[in-house]
Amino acid sequence: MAKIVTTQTFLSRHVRAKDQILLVNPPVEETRYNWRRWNQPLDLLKIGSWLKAHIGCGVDLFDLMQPDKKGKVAAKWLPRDRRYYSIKGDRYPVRHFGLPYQSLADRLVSMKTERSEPTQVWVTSLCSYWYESVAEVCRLVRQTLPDVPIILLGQYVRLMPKHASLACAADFVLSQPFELRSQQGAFDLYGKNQPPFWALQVEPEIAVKEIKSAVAQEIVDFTFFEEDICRENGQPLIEIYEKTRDLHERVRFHIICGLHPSRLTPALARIFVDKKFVELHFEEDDSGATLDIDSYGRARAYLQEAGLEMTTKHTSGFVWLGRPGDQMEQLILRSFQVLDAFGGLILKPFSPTPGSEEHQTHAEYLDTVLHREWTPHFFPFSELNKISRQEYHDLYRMAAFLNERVRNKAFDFLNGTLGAQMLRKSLQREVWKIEPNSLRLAS
Amino acid sequence: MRLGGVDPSILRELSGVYKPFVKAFKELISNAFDADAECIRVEFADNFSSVTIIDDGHGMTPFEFRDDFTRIGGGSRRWAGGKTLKGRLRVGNKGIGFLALARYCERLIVESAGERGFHREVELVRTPDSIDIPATLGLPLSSELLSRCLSCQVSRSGPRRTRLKEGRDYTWKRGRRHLAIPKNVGPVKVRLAVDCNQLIFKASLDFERLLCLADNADLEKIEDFASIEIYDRKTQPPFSGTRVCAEQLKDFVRRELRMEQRKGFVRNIGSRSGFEKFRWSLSRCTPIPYMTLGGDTENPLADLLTIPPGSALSSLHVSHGETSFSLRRPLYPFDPDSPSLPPDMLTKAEIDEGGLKAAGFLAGYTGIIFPAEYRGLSIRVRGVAIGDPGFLGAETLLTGASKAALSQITGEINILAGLDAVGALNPGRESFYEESEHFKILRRALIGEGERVGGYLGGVVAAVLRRTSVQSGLSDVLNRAALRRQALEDMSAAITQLIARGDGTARALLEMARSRRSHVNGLASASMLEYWIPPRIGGLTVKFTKNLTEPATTNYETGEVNIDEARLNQERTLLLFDRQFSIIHKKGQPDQPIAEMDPERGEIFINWGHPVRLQMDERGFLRTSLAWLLAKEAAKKDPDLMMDLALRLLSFNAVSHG
Repeated sequence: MAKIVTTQTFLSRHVRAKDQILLVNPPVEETRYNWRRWNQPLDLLKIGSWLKAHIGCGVDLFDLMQPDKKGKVAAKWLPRDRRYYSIKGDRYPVRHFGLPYQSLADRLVSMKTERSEPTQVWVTSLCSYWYESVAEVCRLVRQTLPDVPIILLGQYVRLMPKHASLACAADFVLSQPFELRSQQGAFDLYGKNQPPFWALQVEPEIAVKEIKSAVAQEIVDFTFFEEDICRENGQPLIEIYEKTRDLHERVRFHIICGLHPSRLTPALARIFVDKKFVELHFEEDDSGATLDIDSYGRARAYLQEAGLEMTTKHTSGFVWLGRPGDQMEQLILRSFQVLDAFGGLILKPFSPTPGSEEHQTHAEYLDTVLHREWTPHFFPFSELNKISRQEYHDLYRMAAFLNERVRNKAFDFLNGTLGAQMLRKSLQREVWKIEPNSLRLAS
Repeated sequence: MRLGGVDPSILRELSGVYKPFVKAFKELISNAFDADAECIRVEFADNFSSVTIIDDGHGMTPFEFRDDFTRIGGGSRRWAGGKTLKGRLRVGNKGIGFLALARYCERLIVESAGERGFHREVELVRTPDSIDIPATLGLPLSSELLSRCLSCQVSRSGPRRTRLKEGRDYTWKRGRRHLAIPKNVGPVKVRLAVDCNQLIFKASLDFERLLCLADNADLEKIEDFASIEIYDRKTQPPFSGTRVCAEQLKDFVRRELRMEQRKGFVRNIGSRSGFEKFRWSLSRCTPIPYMTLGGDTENPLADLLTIPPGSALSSLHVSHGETSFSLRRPLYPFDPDSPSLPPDMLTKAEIDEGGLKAAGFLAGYTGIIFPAEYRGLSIRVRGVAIGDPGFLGAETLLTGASKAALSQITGEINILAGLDAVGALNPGRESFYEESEHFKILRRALIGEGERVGGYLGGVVAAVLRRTSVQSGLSDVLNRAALRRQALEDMSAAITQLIARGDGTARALLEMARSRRSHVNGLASASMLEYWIPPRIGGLTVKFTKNLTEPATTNYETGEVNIDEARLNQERTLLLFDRQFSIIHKKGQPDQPIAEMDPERGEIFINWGHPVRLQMDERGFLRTSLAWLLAKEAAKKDPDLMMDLALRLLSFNAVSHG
């Protein structure tokens, strides 16, 4: 069983300058992963940078989720015996997102052959219900390099260290993260094969340096991995924008998370109008049982005052789906309200964070659900809410429909029409897409 | 202009020798080559309605055009001399090249000028009243041109041979078109000399009319198919060399040239666009320099491609619209997409026997050669490929794998001496006369004699077969090893996943993996099963090496196959969650257990002598024996758990092999 230690303790006791550390971002096995192109192991990049700078050890990276130059992440069906996951009679197709495990095995074998094997392998983790691929990565490393210690880190092991220590054949589980906000990401670990975007945190001094370095390598797309990108009234984000806007005309910021309507300020709205912000996805803000309509209205007004045309910009709002206590009417109402505010709607399936308030409140219920089934795409609170999975999928279809109707355009499959264009975009988002199976509505 | 004495239907038959279009077209390139051209430009009209060939050769005088270009056998007369003014060996030989395009275009326009003179001597048995000079020269020269270019010497023929004096004995009439001798001086000899330096001509060969005449067998009108106009060079734009334009290309030719590349993935030249096919074929059959490898890469072939100096054009450009291509003779080993050529698969060919001299190479590859057009031996006489590449009949002698090996062989043979006599090559130079002694020597050297294929080709076929045999043997050995590894991988991944899921089976499996209790029952003492790998593969000795970067390497020079021991060892270990077990393959008795586990020593024994082995392949047997063993060991004495576990383990496939 793996030892559970804090990152600080591990670093002080087990890492030396002579170490060669291989950082691994594991693949994901999931029913659906529409945001996969934004999967970037920022924690590994930051710790890698810290290790090099403060300990002086050698660091290497193998990112199995790295998108290609066009931003595409490989996806492949699982073998037949595990291609579908059955849950309460519903079958969900499962795919392997990212490079195949074999690519990691090959890399490890070649490192071994070239006598450049690492002295430690650090494996990161993201969502806790994706632990199986983390376990498989550990197995592969253990099998190929039996004497090399395996260290687990990331969100899953932070939230569920004990589970990780039992489920994965690792040596150490780093239960508490290490503060690395002021550390630049070691994007140089990607070498010549740079990812199509760089993930940043809203830390002006660091982010500006990173953007300059990225632009020098012709990388112009950026996103922020933050809970709240508008912190401190948006001043840090504004500072980053102002210091980098003239670096390259094709610099683009994709705001895919951490943007709350209630936190938007007129100053932020003014920078969002710039074409450098190509995506604005607003998190759901509620005040108790209902949506915080005032915040939404205010945010919309700020954006409009700043001159943003909702119909042309990529603005949309998330609506949680599958939270405990869901009611269909409320979900539909919220969907309309978000659409009205931002012109676009993205339903975001919910999964309880281990140890969170939702988890603790519904611990007894969740104990009956296998952790693998906590994935939001399985709607773990479906039984609790007495809303069937099929009904949730109906909401996806409704969202797809609403996303088109809000622009007052009927479907039109003729080439070049706006309707056709919108439909295409909707299909690309795949918000409604579920494999042909029993979930489909009977005709 | 007259094309004398040949039945039009014979002309039509001769024109049919050249097919397809590109083979006919190459005749115009050969003509230019024989005119000592260095650079040739081929320009297609935008809609492929016509094509023009412009060369920088020494051109033709109108008389050469009439006597050599348009006359059947004209070329063969020159062939006897064998060399061009520059000393090149001539390519054309039969003197029917001008007919090559007869079936592919309606009209051929030839413009040229040559800086040489023309002499004609006429002996008349009695003194004529007058001599028609243009008729005597056989070309429509104007009075003006005659007065500037013609010189004439008239003398009595016979024993006295006194020269006649202009003005006294003979006079010019009608602007030097007629020579009049007023007094009867008996038999006369007239020597005419034309200085062609100042002449340029434009001729038109009306093939449409020629073939139409052939249909009607109208021999009398045959002279009407060609016309020529001769100008003073000073009155025309500066021009040297020859320009030939094939006008009104036939519809089927245009269609072929315009054809687009076949949809989807294509590998062969035959599937590419019509214009690309034309260029490729032209580059294969004309005397142009070889394509070269990029960079500084040294290629052993370079020494084998002996081309006599001056036997290739400096450049051949083909253009259509905005695009222009400089052609180089393609060779498969020089093709950027071709795999590297192993030294033992390259054979140098040298023939020097009975007056035939040839040099070149034959190359075998481990894979099938694409584009398919590269396959076969290309034989070149005076730099021009004779027919398409082939195997001189070896393809009909070989069968099975040997015949299949031909698709992996390419080669290039340059004839340096011999085989270039008129009697050795068929019209159109698309094949050899098999009765030719030189051809017999060539064939014997390349493919041997009798019913067995020998010679250089036999050696290359044997090398290809040897490699194929080694590769297939090695691939079988490695694939089987990979399948056995896969079986272990499946088990290992299944155990990891079952433990990770944390359900009821996880505890039992973890306990099993960590157990130290030994309870083996005799299989440990059974004899060991050695490697499945034979000591020799395809005649090469098998050796086991550590830390190879590939699963196996072959060295044909030392005759060894090196197999990576580390990878082989992978089929001797099984990771059960976090513990490595050694897999020991045993040759037990049929009544001994299918497998046994010794957790204390971390060993698992597999009984390959078990009767179940006969029912399934190696992978299946390994999976089955391990699944039942692990299920039994983990479940202890719980039959339901054992069945459940065995079922899960047997149905699991690791993602990496999905």
